[in-house]
Amino acid sequence: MEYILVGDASVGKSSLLVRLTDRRFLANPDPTLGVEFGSKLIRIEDENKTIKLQCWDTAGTETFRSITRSYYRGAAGALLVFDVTSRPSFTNARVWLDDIRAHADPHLTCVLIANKVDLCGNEDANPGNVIGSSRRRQVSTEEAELWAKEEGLLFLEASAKTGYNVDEAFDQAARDILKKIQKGVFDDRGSRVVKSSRPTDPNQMTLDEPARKGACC
Amino acid sequence: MSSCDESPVLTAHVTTTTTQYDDSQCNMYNSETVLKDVFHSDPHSSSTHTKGNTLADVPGRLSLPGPEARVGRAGTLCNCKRLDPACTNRSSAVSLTTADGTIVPCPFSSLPISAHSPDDPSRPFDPLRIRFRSPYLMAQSNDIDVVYEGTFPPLIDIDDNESVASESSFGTDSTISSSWDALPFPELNVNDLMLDFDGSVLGGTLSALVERLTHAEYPGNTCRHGFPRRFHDDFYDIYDPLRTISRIDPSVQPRHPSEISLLHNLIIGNGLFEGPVINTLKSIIQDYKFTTREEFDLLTDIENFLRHDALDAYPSAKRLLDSILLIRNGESSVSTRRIAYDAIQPPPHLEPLEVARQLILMESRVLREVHPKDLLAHGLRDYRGSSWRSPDTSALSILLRRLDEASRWVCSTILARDSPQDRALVINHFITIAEACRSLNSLTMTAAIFSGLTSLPVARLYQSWAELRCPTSIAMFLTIQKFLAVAENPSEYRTMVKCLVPPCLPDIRVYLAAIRQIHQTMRDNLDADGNVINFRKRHELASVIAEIQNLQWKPYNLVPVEPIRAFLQREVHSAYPMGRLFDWSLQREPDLSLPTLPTSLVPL
Repeated sequence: MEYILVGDASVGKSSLLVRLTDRRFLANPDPTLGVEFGSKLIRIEDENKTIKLQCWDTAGTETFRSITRSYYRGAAGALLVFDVTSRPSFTNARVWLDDIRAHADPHLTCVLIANKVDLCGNEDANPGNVIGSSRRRQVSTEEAELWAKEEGLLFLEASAKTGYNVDEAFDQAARDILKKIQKGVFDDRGSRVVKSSRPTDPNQMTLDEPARKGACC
Repeated sequence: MSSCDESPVLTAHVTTTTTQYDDSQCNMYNSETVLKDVFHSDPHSSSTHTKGNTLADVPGRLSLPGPEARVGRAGTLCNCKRLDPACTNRSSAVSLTTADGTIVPCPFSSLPISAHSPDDPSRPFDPLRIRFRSPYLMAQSNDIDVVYEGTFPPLIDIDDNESVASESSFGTDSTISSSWDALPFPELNVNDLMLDFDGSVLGGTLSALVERLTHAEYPGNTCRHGFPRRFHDDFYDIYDPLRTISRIDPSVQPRHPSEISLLHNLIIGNGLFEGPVINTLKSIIQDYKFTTREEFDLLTDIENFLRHDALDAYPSAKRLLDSILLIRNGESSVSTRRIAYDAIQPPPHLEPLEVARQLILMESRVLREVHPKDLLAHGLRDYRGSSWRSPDTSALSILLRRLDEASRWVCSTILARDSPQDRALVINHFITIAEACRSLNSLTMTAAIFSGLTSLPVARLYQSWAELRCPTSIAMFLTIQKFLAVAENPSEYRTMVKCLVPPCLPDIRVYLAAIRQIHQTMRDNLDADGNVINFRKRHELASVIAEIQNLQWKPYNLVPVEPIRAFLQREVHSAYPMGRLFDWSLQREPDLSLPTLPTSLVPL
């Protein structure tokens, strides 16, 4: 299964991915240049399935938009990330969503992720605890949830720093995609988007290729 | 691949060698495949290969001339007897009628099949009953008996006296072969090569591909003089092919026919149109960037290969050794390329055009270092393992980082100004710089600066943009916008690049996106085991790489102005991260309700 991580620059996309694959927090990452890649096997217990996730971590900056767009096409799931402490990153999520809708598979599963909730985790209960962090929450859970519902996205709050909900985010997306496969929205055999681990008939492949080429170029 | 029924292979040979089929199948083939002709003899015994020899005793072998088909000077097949003198209608479109009556286009019409009439060349040839498989035919039915009943394309007979060997540049005293004819033709296994209808290669195993590519006259290679580039371009990743070459032991009489052909191709050259291929190997090796230890080991292997006694007779092998020595000493051909500056020294001030020039110089220097290896690996850097967090020092990532920095630098510089009026001035300045970059054909720099201008922290500065009143700047902005929008569409972009007068800096992002697209739509291998390389994919990739390389090597004739360059480098490098820029932007103009860009700047 191929995922893409999209969202504004420095909302924590790379950190989320490193948290997922390496179980550690990337404190001060360099900005992603173009795209980077991470993969992980996840297990969906109740379905009794192991899924290989391939995640394309895309650059959030405008400079690389034309590169990152070319990664939308093959993705089965998109994790649309914004930073709860940055209002613009949330407003811009709309732009990202339009971009995804324009370039990616129409059936793609999109999860809205409110990242960096650790920065304001205890803010409400005990504002004094947030020492050294000048950041405050700028996007409320309710607001994000409402927007996600409007747009038909899954929604989760997560933190790459603490690892809160990170696995769940990827897991939920995987479940949703699996459901779609079972419903036949994604064609398991023919689809570019979801590759079955069973080696497909090589003949099929050679037959498909010229046609595909024609379609994309 | 024991099960031939599933092999998606347009058989270059319908062969019945035991490696491919078991006995029962073999018998089936013998009965079904009525092949009275064979193009060449058993490759293992070169002596049987004589022209017009009856080879009906080698049952069931039909060979399509692959690399082994030799093309004479006139572009006709030689070494073949005319089948039927009366049959002169060469252009007769060959189509094949399948057993169920469907007519399929014949792959042989462009991939000329040749056949000997067993005994008497003048005897009318029997209809060929060919049983073959092709990925295309597989779609209709699994096994198709194709009965060929049309006329064969007449093949021009070349007399033994006009043997190709006499035309070739290599000597006949070779220790490896005395003449062309002594060389057995290489045999390709059924699964070695997959050919398309037009004779171009779809895929194949590594050794088969290497062999094919070292052979200049394989069908479909119309550019006779383009061999060295072809090898290089088609096999953009020449590491594996080189390794294959280096593993051949020249002293051992090669048992596998493809080995001997390879060796022959490499060392002696095929003599017709090219000089010894080893010379071209030299240029390939010079172009390759040997960096890793593994690659240097490979170099050693090649050296050992070249030092072998059997190759003593070839001066070209020695020349290649010399150039390898140069590479070892770190004198790659890249460093020897020098740029001559003859432009007049400009005055050092931060005039937009000069800034643009220096930016371009910085960029082009990096771009010229970008190696295909990096381009192909882009986006495949895995987070896990040691590679992550270790700084990526490849030229490509430096280039990308610089672009990112440049656009952030644009943001930082604009946001550093206090008043909207001042910011508008800076915006104006950057528009002029971007326009200058555009006029200097630097697509990447233009895009980087422009994306800095349109990135959210700057684009949302409504008040500042409203201060931008100069109509020329606004017009410029819109022109650049239109110009860059073209680059979004790969085909339009290519037409545009073709129209540019070099030197120019191509938009590297377009190529990265194109490479990604190829990766996404095509598989590496055509079989489940990963032995058959999808050559078409490599070819596609190679053509993208070739496009970049074409543009990479045209240097700008610009003078580096050291103070400006140093200033820019420092400034660009210290640009703020995007997150900071957002915050800053909010401080400058906190109103979130205003639109991002004034309507005058939004394209219709």
